[in-house]
Amino acid sequence: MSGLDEMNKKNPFNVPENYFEKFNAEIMSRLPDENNTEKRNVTPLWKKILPISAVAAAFVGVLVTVGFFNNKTIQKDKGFAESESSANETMMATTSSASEADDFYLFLQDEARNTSYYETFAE
Amino acid sequence: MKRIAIIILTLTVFFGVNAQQQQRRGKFDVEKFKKERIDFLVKEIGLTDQESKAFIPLCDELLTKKFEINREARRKNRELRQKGANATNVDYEMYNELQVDCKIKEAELDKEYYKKMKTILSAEKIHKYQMAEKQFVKKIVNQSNK
Repeated sequence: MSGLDEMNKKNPFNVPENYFEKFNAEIMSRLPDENNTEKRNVTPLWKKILPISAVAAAFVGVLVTVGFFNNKTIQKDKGFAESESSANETMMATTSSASEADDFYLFLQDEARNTSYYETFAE
Repeated sequence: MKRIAIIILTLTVFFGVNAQQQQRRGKFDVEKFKKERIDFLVKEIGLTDQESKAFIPLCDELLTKKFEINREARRKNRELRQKGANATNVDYEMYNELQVDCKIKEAELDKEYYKKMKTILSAEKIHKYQMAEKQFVKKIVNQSNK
Protein backbone atom coordinates (compact mmCIF):
# COMPACT_ATOMS: atom_id res chain seq x y z
CA MET A 1 0.00 0.00 0.00
CA SER A 2 2.79 2.43 0.80
CA GLY A 3 4.55 1.44 -2.46
CA LEU A 4 1.40 2.18 -4.42
CA ASP A 5 0.95 5.52 -2.67
CA GLU A 6 4.54 6.42 -3.54
CA MET A 7 4.03 5.48 -7.16
CA ASN A 8 0.95 7.66 -7.46
CA LYS A 9 2.93 10.70 -6.27
CA LYS A 10 5.82 10.27 -8.70
CA ASN A 11 5.47 10.99 -12.39
CA PRO A 12 6.76 7.86 -14.14
CA PHE A 13 7.47 9.76 -17.33
CA ASN A 14 10.42 12.01 -17.77
CA VAL A 15 11.68 14.33 -20.50
CA PRO A 16 15.28 14.36 -21.67
CA GLU A 17 17.35 17.10 -20.22
CA ASN A 18 16.98 20.50 -21.97
CA TYR A 19 14.56 18.92 -24.44
CA PHE A 20 12.32 21.91 -24.89
CA GLU A 21 15.20 24.37 -24.93
CA LYS A 22 16.91 22.45 -27.69
CA PHE A 23 13.67 21.70 -29.56
CA ASN A 24 13.60 24.81 -31.79
CA ALA A 25 17.24 24.56 -32.72
CA GLU A 26 16.95 20.88 -33.61
CA ILE A 27 13.91 21.37 -35.84
CA MET A 28 15.55 24.27 -37.64
CA SER A 29 18.66 22.19 -38.24
CA ARG A 30 16.57 19.50 -39.92
CA LEU A 31 15.08 21.94 -42.40
CA PRO A 32 16.76 22.10 -45.85
CA ASP A 33 19.31 24.76 -46.41
CA GLU A 34 17.81 27.95 -47.87
CA ASN A 35 20.70 28.31 -50.30
CA ASN A 36 20.01 24.90 -51.79
CA THR A 37 16.36 25.61 -52.42
CA GLU A 38 17.29 28.33 -54.87
CA LYS A 39 18.94 25.78 -57.10
CA ARG A 40 15.94 23.93 -58.48
CA ASN A 41 15.99 21.38 -61.21
CA VAL A 42 14.73 23.49 -64.08
CA THR A 43 13.42 21.44 -67.01
CA PRO A 44 14.50 23.00 -70.30
CA LEU A 45 11.67 24.49 -72.30
CA TRP A 46 12.37 22.25 -75.27
CA LYS A 47 11.91 19.17 -73.15
CA LYS A 48 8.54 20.42 -71.97
CA ILE A 49 7.37 21.15 -75.50
CA LEU A 50 8.78 17.98 -77.08
CA PRO A 51 6.01 15.51 -76.12
CA ILE A 52 3.25 17.88 -77.16
CA SER A 53 4.92 18.73 -80.46
CA ALA A 54 5.50 15.04 -81.14
CA VAL A 55 1.78 14.37 -80.76
CA ALA A 56 0.89 17.35 -82.91
CA ALA A 57 3.37 16.34 -85.62
CA ALA A 58 2.09 12.79 -85.70
CA PHE A 59 -1.47 14.04 -85.88
CA VAL A 60 -0.74 16.38 -88.78
CA GLY A 61 1.24 13.66 -90.51
CA VAL A 62 -1.71 11.30 -90.36
CA LEU A 63 -4.05 13.98 -91.68
CA VAL A 64 -1.74 14.75 -94.60
CA THR A 65 -1.28 11.08 -95.40
CA VAL A 66 -4.98 10.43 -95.63
CA GLY A 67 -5.47 13.52 -97.73
CA PHE A 68 -7.56 15.32 -95.16
CA PHE A 69 -6.43 18.70 -96.46
CA ASN A 70 -7.00 17.76 -100.06
CA ASN A 71 -10.64 18.61 -100.69
CA LYS A 72 -10.57 17.12 -104.14
CA THR A 73 -10.23 13.60 -102.85
CA ILE A 74 -12.86 13.86 -100.18
CA GLN A 75 -16.16 12.54 -101.39
CA LYS A 76 -19.14 14.19 -99.85
CA ASP A 77 -22.43 12.48 -99.88
CA LYS A 78 -24.39 15.37 -101.28
CA GLY A 79 -26.17 13.55 -104.06
CA PHE A 80 -25.82 14.25 -107.71
CA ALA A 81 -27.00 17.85 -107.68
CA GLU A 82 -23.51 18.79 -106.48
CA SER A 83 -20.87 19.08 -109.15
CA GLU A 84 -18.72 16.49 -107.42
CA SER A 85 -17.80 14.76 -110.63
CA SER A 86 -16.21 17.93 -111.86
CA ALA A 87 -13.92 17.89 -108.85
CA ASN A 88 -13.18 14.23 -109.51
CA GLU A 89 -12.46 15.01 -113.11
CA THR A 90 -9.95 17.63 -112.12
CA MET A 91 -8.35 15.19 -109.73
CA MET A 92 -8.07 12.48 -112.34
CA ALA A 93 -6.81 14.91 -114.92
CA THR A 94 -3.90 15.74 -112.72
CA THR A 95 -2.81 12.08 -112.68
CA SER A 96 -1.48 11.81 -116.24
CA SER A 97 -4.48 10.77 -118.33
CA ALA A 98 -7.70 9.38 -116.90
CA SER A 99 -7.79 5.61 -117.07
CA GLU A 100 -10.50 3.87 -119.05
CA ALA A 101 -12.18 2.71 -115.85
CA ASP A 102 -12.15 6.18 -114.30
CA ASP A 103 -13.45 7.71 -117.51
CA PHE A 104 -16.25 5.15 -117.62
CA TYR A 105 -17.15 5.93 -114.02
CA LEU A 106 -17.31 9.64 -114.83
CA PHE A 107 -19.63 8.82 -117.69
CA LEU A 108 -21.88 6.90 -115.30
CA GLN A 109 -21.84 9.78 -112.85
CA ASP A 110 -22.96 12.19 -115.57
CA GLU A 111 -25.74 9.82 -116.57
CA ALA A 112 -26.85 9.42 -112.96
CA ARG A 113 -26.80 13.18 -112.44
CA ASN A 114 -28.91 13.75 -115.51
CA THR A 115 -31.39 11.18 -114.25
CA SER A 116 -31.58 12.90 -110.87
CA TYR A 117 -32.11 16.32 -112.46
CA TYR A 118 -34.85 14.91 -114.64
CA GLU A 119 -36.55 13.20 -111.70
CA THR A 120 -36.30 16.34 -109.58
CA PHE A 121 -37.96 18.53 -112.16
CA ALA A 122 -40.45 15.88 -113.21
CA GLU A 123 -41.70 15.65 -109.63
CA MET B 1 5.74 8.72 -72.89
CA LYS B 2 3.39 5.77 -72.77
CA ARG B 3 0.40 8.08 -72.70
CA ILE B 4 1.71 9.96 -75.72
CA ALA B 5 2.17 6.71 -77.62
CA ILE B 6 -1.40 5.69 -76.83
CA ILE B 7 -2.73 9.06 -78.01
CA ILE B 8 -0.80 8.85 -81.28
CA LEU B 9 -1.95 5.30 -81.86
CA THR B 10 -5.59 6.20 -81.21
CA LEU B 11 -5.45 9.15 -83.58
CA THR B 12 -3.78 7.08 -86.27
CA VAL B 13 -6.41 4.36 -86.05
CA PHE B 14 -9.23 6.88 -86.02
CA PHE B 15 -8.08 8.80 -89.04
CA GLY B 16 -7.03 5.66 -90.83
CA VAL B 17 -10.56 4.33 -90.59
CA ASN B 18 -11.96 7.70 -91.55
CA ALA B 19 -9.68 7.84 -94.54
CA GLN B 20 -10.91 4.52 -95.79
CA GLN B 21 -14.40 5.83 -95.76
CA GLN B 22 -13.52 9.13 -97.25
CA GLN B 23 -10.94 8.17 -99.79
CA ARG B 24 -12.08 7.47 -103.25
CA ARG B 25 -12.83 3.84 -104.03
CA GLY B 26 -10.24 1.92 -105.93
CA LYS B 27 -10.28 1.39 -109.63
CA PHE B 28 -13.81 1.03 -110.91
CA ASP B 29 -14.51 -2.51 -112.09
CA VAL B 30 -16.13 -2.03 -115.49
CA GLU B 31 -16.57 -5.73 -116.21
CA LYS B 32 -18.28 -6.30 -112.91
CA PHE B 33 -20.54 -3.34 -113.60
CA LYS B 34 -21.50 -4.70 -117.03
CA LYS B 35 -22.28 -8.13 -115.65
CA GLU B 36 -24.41 -6.78 -112.81
CA ARG B 37 -26.15 -4.47 -115.23
CA ILE B 38 -27.18 -7.36 -117.47
CA ASP B 39 -28.51 -9.36 -114.51
CA PHE B 40 -30.42 -6.32 -113.30
CA LEU B 41 -31.94 -5.55 -116.71
CA VAL B 42 -33.00 -9.13 -117.35
CA LYS B 43 -34.69 -9.25 -113.96
CA GLU B 44 -36.35 -5.83 -114.12
CA ILE B 45 -37.58 -6.06 -117.70
CA GLY B 46 -38.52 -9.73 -117.37
CA LEU B 47 -36.64 -10.87 -120.44
CA THR B 48 -36.95 -14.39 -121.74
CA ASP B 49 -33.83 -16.25 -122.82
CA GLN B 50 -34.57 -15.59 -126.44
CA GLU B 51 -35.17 -11.90 -125.85
CA SER B 52 -31.98 -11.66 -123.76
CA LYS B 53 -29.84 -13.13 -126.52
CA ALA B 54 -31.07 -10.55 -129.00
CA PHE B 55 -31.58 -7.57 -126.74
CA ILE B 56 -28.60 -7.53 -124.38
CA PRO B 57 -25.90 -7.11 -127.06
CA LEU B 58 -27.94 -4.22 -128.43
CA CYS B 59 -28.15 -2.32 -125.16
CA ASP B 60 -24.47 -3.04 -124.47
CA GLU B 61 -23.65 -1.53 -127.82
CA LEU B 62 -25.78 1.52 -127.05
CA LEU B 63 -24.06 2.07 -123.72
CA THR B 64 -20.60 1.77 -125.27
CA LYS B 65 -21.44 4.21 -128.06
CA LYS B 66 -22.86 6.74 -125.62
CA PHE B 67 -19.70 6.45 -123.57
CA GLU B 68 -17.57 7.10 -126.65
CA ILE B 69 -19.64 10.09 -127.74
CA ASN B 70 -19.19 11.86 -124.43
CA ARG B 71 -15.54 10.97 -124.09
CA GLU B 72 -14.34 13.93 -126.06
CA ALA B 73 -16.62 16.26 -124.12
CA ARG B 74 -15.30 14.91 -120.82
CA ARG B 75 -11.72 15.31 -122.01
CA LYS B 76 -12.38 18.91 -123.01
CA ASN B 77 -14.07 19.54 -119.68
CA ARG B 78 -10.98 18.27 -117.85
CA GLU B 79 -8.74 20.47 -119.95
CA LEU B 80 -10.98 23.42 -119.25
CA ARG B 81 -10.81 22.84 -115.52
CA GLN B 82 -7.08 22.41 -115.63
CA LYS B 83 -6.74 25.73 -117.36
CA GLY B 84 -8.87 27.36 -114.71
CA ALA B 85 -8.60 31.15 -114.95
CA ASN B 86 -6.39 30.80 -118.04
CA ALA B 87 -9.25 29.34 -120.07
CA THR B 88 -10.14 31.60 -122.95
CA ASN B 89 -13.48 32.40 -124.48
CA VAL B 90 -12.54 30.20 -127.41
CA ASP B 91 -12.01 27.24 -125.06
CA TYR B 92 -15.43 27.73 -123.49
CA GLU B 93 -17.04 28.13 -126.87
CA MET B 94 -15.48 24.90 -128.13
CA TYR B 95 -16.59 23.02 -125.05
CA ASN B 96 -20.15 24.38 -125.19
CA GLU B 97 -20.50 23.40 -128.83
CA LEU B 98 -19.09 19.98 -128.07
CA GLN B 99 -21.64 19.52 -125.28
CA VAL B 100 -24.52 20.47 -127.52
CA ASP B 101 -23.27 18.22 -130.33
CA CYS B 102 -22.95 15.34 -127.88
CA LYS B 103 -26.54 15.73 -126.81
CA ILE B 104 -27.70 15.72 -130.42
CA LYS B 105 -25.63 12.62 -131.21
CA GLU B 106 -26.94 10.87 -128.13
CA ALA B 107 -30.51 11.61 -129.09
CA GLU B 108 -29.89 10.32 -132.62
CA LEU B 109 -28.30 7.21 -131.16
CA ASP B 110 -31.26 6.65 -128.86
CA LYS B 111 -33.63 6.93 -131.81
CA GLU B 112 -31.55 4.58 -133.95
CA TYR B 113 -31.40 1.90 -131.27
CA TYR B 114 -35.03 2.37 -130.28
CA LYS B 115 -36.01 1.35 -133.82
CA LYS B 116 -33.82 -1.74 -133.51
CA MET B 117 -35.19 -2.59 -130.08
CA LYS B 118 -38.77 -2.32 -131.33
CA THR B 119 -38.11 -5.37 -133.49
CA ILE B 120 -37.14 -7.41 -130.43
CA LEU B 121 -39.23 -6.15 -127.50
CA SER B 122 -42.65 -4.70 -126.87
CA ALA B 123 -43.03 -0.97 -126.19
CA GLU B 124 -43.76 -1.72 -122.55
CA LYS B 125 -40.55 -3.67 -122.12
CA ILE B 126 -38.53 -0.97 -123.89
CA HIS B 127 -39.97 1.55 -121.45
CA LYS B 128 -39.02 -0.76 -118.56
CA TYR B 129 -35.54 -1.05 -120.01
CA GLN B 130 -35.13 2.74 -120.12
CA MET B 131 -36.24 3.09 -116.49
CA ALA B 132 -34.14 0.14 -115.32
CA GLU B 133 -31.01 1.41 -117.07
CA LYS B 134 -31.26 4.77 -115.34
CA GLN B 135 -32.04 3.26 -111.95
CA PHE B 136 -29.16 0.84 -112.15
CA VAL B 137 -26.59 3.50 -113.05
CA LYS B 138 -27.87 5.70 -110.26
CA LYS B 139 -27.70 2.80 -107.80
CA ILE B 140 -24.12 1.92 -108.73
CA VAL B 141 -22.92 5.51 -108.49
CA ASN B 142 -24.72 5.87 -105.14
CA GLN B 143 -22.98 2.75 -103.83
CA SER B 144 -19.60 3.90 -105.04
CA ASN B 145 -20.02 7.28 -103.39
CA LYS B 146 -20.63 5.74 -99.97
